[in-house]
Amino acid sequence: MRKKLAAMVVFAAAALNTVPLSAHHSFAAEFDENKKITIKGTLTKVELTNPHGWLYLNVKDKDGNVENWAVETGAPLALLRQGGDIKKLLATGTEIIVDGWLARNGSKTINGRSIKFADGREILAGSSNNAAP
Amino acid sequence: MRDHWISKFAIAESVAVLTAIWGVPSLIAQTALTAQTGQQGSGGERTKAGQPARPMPPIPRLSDGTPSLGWVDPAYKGVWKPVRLRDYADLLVERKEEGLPFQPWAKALYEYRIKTEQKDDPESLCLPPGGTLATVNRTASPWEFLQMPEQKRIIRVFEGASHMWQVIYMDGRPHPQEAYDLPTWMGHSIGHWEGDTLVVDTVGFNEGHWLSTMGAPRTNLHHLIERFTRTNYNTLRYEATIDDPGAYTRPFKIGWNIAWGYGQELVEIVCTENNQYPNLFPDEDTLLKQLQRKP
Repeated sequence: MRKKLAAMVVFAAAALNTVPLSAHHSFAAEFDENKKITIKGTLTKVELTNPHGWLYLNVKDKDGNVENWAVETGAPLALLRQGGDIKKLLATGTEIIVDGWLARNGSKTINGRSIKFADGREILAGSSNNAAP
Repeated sequence: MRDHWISKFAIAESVAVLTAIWGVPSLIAQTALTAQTGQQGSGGERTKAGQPARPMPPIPRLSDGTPSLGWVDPAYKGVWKPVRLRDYADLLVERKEEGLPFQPWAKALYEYRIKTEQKDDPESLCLPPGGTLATVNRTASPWEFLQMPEQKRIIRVFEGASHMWQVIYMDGRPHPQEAYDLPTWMGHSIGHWEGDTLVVDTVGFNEGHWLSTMGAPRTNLHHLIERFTRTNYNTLRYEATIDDPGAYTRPFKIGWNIAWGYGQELVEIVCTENNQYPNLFPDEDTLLKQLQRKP
């Protein structure tokens, strides 16, 4: 257990250590760290771009209505370097669960903290929120 | 044996990374960073499990005898790694108890930028962060020095921000009048060696960007003198004297250490390709209300 935990920390730390960091903006100007949110949906569009990647997903609300949400990620390499198959997984049609923080402007936009896939695997989204793990 | 190595490495690596991300290090973090960067000569780079660390190489010298601030042997290639240090008051190397010597207008603007969570940061619009920002800023980094002694130039190439570079003229020229008449984002830089320290003198900054990521102001009177000293292969000591009589009451000096990123190479980042910040730019009244701060 300790070995596994240590290995995960190494992997995460190494991933964080070598990723490009393409944008400084103040997280707090755009997102509210007191508004944590988790959404589950199907990817409709994936933009592996700078300064941030963007994942768009269709999310069904409790009444069955579909809304499209936008998730801001860190630099694309921050995502891809967490696994050799991530590029394939981050494609239209993949179901993901994202947790993160809500945009201040009232739009359906999240700064992503983590992305979980159907098999339970979780990767960090490369959030610009430096106050949170 | 493997168990022990992984947990020791994991701790040092995590602390060093957290230090780099979260800025001014505690003593514990600094010790871990020292261990990782081999400032005490403990080792040159991260190892694969079970293999002994390679010793840290000596600083190579170029054909003109000056130290390399980059790499010569590809086995030890790398870049200078990002740091995240925001508050220059924490980075003062002299007269620290006095804080930053703001003029009153500059202090007021600084406090406004902090209150509004740096919503007006020009870097959010992908504008090039020159001056000390290029070295303290986590997103301009990593970067490399490309020394061309035969041309008497050093070019500094940055990975992040705006796909930017800086030319440092080493041929003894003075700053031209044009540098002052047509100020720029990176300014006009001339340099020389003092022993093994590269001294870079820059003037002609425009007023489009900030002095620090927290929002300390910069004016077109800013005269910057930077000193880069590679104290060992892993470590670049950086000190900067900030002389900006447009915003500050006197010059002040900041400094910190920068770590070498073994094996890393620069990738392409073009900030302007999909910058959504204009869509997320906050309304000031709403922002202050949400943060429960007075307008």
